[in-house]
Amino acid sequence: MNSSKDSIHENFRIFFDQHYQRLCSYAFSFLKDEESCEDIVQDIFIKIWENRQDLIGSDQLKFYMFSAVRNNCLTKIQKNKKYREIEMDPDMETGEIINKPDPEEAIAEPGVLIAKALDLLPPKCREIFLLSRISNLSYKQIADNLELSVKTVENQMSKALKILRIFARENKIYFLIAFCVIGVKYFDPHIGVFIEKLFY
Amino acid sequence: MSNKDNIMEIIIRHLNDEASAEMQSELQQWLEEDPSHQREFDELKLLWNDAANAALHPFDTKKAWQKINDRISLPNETKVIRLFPWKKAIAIAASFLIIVSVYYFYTRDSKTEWKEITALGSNKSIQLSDGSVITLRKASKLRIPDNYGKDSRRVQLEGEAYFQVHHEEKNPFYLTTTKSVIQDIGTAFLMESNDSVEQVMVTEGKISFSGKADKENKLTLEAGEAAILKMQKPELKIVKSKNSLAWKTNILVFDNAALTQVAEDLKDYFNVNFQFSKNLQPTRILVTAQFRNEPLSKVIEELNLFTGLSFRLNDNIIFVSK
Repeated sequence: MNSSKDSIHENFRIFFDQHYQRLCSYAFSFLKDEESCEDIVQDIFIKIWENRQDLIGSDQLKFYMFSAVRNNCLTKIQKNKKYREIEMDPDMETGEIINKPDPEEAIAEPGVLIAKALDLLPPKCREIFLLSRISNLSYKQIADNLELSVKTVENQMSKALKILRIFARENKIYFLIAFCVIGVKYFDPHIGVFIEKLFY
Repeated sequence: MSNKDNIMEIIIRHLNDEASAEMQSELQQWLEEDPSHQREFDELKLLWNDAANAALHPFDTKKAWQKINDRISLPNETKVIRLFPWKKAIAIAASFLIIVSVYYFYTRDSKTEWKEITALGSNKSIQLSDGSVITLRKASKLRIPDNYGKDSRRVQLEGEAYFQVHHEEKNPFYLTTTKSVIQDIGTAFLMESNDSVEQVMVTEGKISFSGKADKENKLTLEAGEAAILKMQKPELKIVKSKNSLAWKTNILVFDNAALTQVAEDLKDYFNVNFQFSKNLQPTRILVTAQFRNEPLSKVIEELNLFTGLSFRLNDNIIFVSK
């Protein structure tokens, strides 16, 4: 029809291609039900097309979409209490949830093991870390999205990485780590109490 | 702030491409201080990247895009789903029938007289001399020879009919249509034969089914099985709906049937078309219901209650929307 309409459609398609799986995966971190995730994400895409074509092609769209997915998922959880609720408590004790490795699982792929490790993160830490890794949004955008300070986001990101690192070492996910376990002992006091339990 | 926390913060920023030039040089310095630093950094980077992959779940972007694209590129008009052009098929079948029957009556053996029965405005039940009962669907035709049962039992069908055949081992029952031949082996079956489809469904007993052109290529069907004739060859068919006989029994049963299937069966039974509004996913809406000899208005009312959707009948088309 007209070329500007076509280019909006093309931008929309490209954005969809790049972000659909990410947005659904983000929804999945709340809902654990693939069908609901796809419904929510698709409805938001339709709404964007129908009401907010001005966002298509702008940098804001990604930020907007991830916020919308989060809000819709939280609304859905509110409505439907049968889904597991995500608790937002940054100070939750994490030490005891780091499990000893199962020898059979140790041979699994890093990806599978890390997916497991992600589930072990404290809820708030997990939400921040997952959003960052799924969306590649800036820390500022993540902070705005979750109504937190940038500092909190960065702290939680560090915390998540440290916990994942302990898990990776415990499970010997990466070969190179096997050589430096003893050498990194001096890190431990900065990481937290549970590190001492594991390493000393 | 300790040096250790500080470097972690820089790494976190670096990994997200947010480190300032100052931070970058500080990181560089730290990495060069000790080979263990580099290892540690590599480890964190691996975790960073692997976590991104691990956080993703398999979702089918391509399929979803097709769905979205259908929804956004549709004009505001709703889409007509033509499930089965029944009227058209009947019309074609009827004209085809005239040609075939004219040809047939001129060329066949003149010794046998054939009686033709047409179910005009309603279904028609015919009891034959051997006790077999044939229910002809509205607008279908059956031909029976005068000497039926004497040394053979043969009938011909155009359209759709339900046969409840009295079994005689020494004198098998044959049904021929323009395209196929059915031999019963003690049975009840539903035959639909017209221009667009040649299909049979067995409800009791057994039959053998073959194309007219290749009678050797037979398919034996038992109760619950159905077959269609494709390129003159009989082929087993999966029975999708339990309602093939609704026109005879006046009972429609839906047991967790998709709304599309419901529409298809109602279309066949009431001869109405369905139109779904574009924001509906009729394959996902499941219906469990039973209708016994109920008028269309009543059926619509009940569907509305079950699904919460609006069903509007206008000019033989039912519009379904939220």
